Amino acid sequence: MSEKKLVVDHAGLSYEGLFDIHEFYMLIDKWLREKGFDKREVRNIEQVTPQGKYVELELQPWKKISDYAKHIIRMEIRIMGIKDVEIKKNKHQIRLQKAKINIIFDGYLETDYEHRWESQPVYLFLRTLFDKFVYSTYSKKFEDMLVEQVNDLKAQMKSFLNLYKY
Amino acid sequence: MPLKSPKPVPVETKVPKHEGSRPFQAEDLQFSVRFRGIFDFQGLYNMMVHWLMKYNFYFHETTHKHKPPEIEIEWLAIRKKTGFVQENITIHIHAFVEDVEVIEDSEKKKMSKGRITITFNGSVETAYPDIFEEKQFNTVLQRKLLKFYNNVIMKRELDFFYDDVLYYEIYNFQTAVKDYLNIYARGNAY
Repeated sequence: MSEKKLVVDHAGLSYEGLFDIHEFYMLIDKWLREKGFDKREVRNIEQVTPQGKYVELELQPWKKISDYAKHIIRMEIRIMGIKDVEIKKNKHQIRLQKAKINIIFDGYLETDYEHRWESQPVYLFLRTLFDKFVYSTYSKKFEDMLVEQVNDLKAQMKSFLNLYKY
Repeated sequence: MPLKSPKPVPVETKVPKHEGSRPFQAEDLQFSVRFRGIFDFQGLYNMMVHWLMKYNFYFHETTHKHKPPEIEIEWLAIRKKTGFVQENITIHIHAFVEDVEVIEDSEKKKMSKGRITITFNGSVETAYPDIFEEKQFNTVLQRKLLKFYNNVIMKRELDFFYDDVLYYEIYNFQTAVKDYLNIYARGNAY
């Protein structure tokens, strides 16, 4: 089994108000594409409830940074009480949604994702020694890169949602 | 003596696993869409079949169960890329729907109301059975050689030219389904 280290643990983002859900989803998609992540959509659920529509998304995009290490960002997005509203802005009618959104970010650094160093106990032992004493500076660098990327994505989402706040 | 019911013939709904069959990166890597509301089930069915045929997949419906209001459908789509490599997509549709009439643009339209779950899975298969449905690389040594060829010699080519391309094609398929259902989290930047 590959080693998975939790680097970013349950970073949260909440917002309640007006925004465009489709544009928000496209923002995430475009960011992942720009940064070279491979997209993986684990769950995409939409259902109608008495309080309004409910959307649940779980995304787990990954990016291979070397043949040994991989970044995984796990996002759990819950959008509750969605109601379609139309607002007038600069003489144009714009269709938006009024909802409450909660996002939780987790970042993982996965090493030996090709399972090359676990077929025998000796290889596993050598891998552990290598990770702890030889490769530790690089691992730290990869972790810092992951934290930076998660913070960048979070900042992009915040600025997008703040556009609709005013 | 009471008559015995005939033995059920096993239908292969999944792609048979052998040394040449390579699922995407992990066994549980799947795409899925779950929707609850009012939608056009027949239109969605037709759209999905046309998408597969447009992309030159040989489409085969392996299971169709209809016990109202439950519908369960399994599809196997096969596309032979070369004489050695074949791409497979398995689609599983599970829905609980009832027919309703909806007025749209002052026209009465038959739609379905309920919930639907569509799951997509893919794999790239090497050394697929030939036209006589006979599997190649049958002996132990041949299977070991095939495994070595897939995992060492051809690994990068299979990963970059076949796995990745099929992965994003299935992703586009999922996007087409989401666009048809007009769900909020739709769109594709890839």
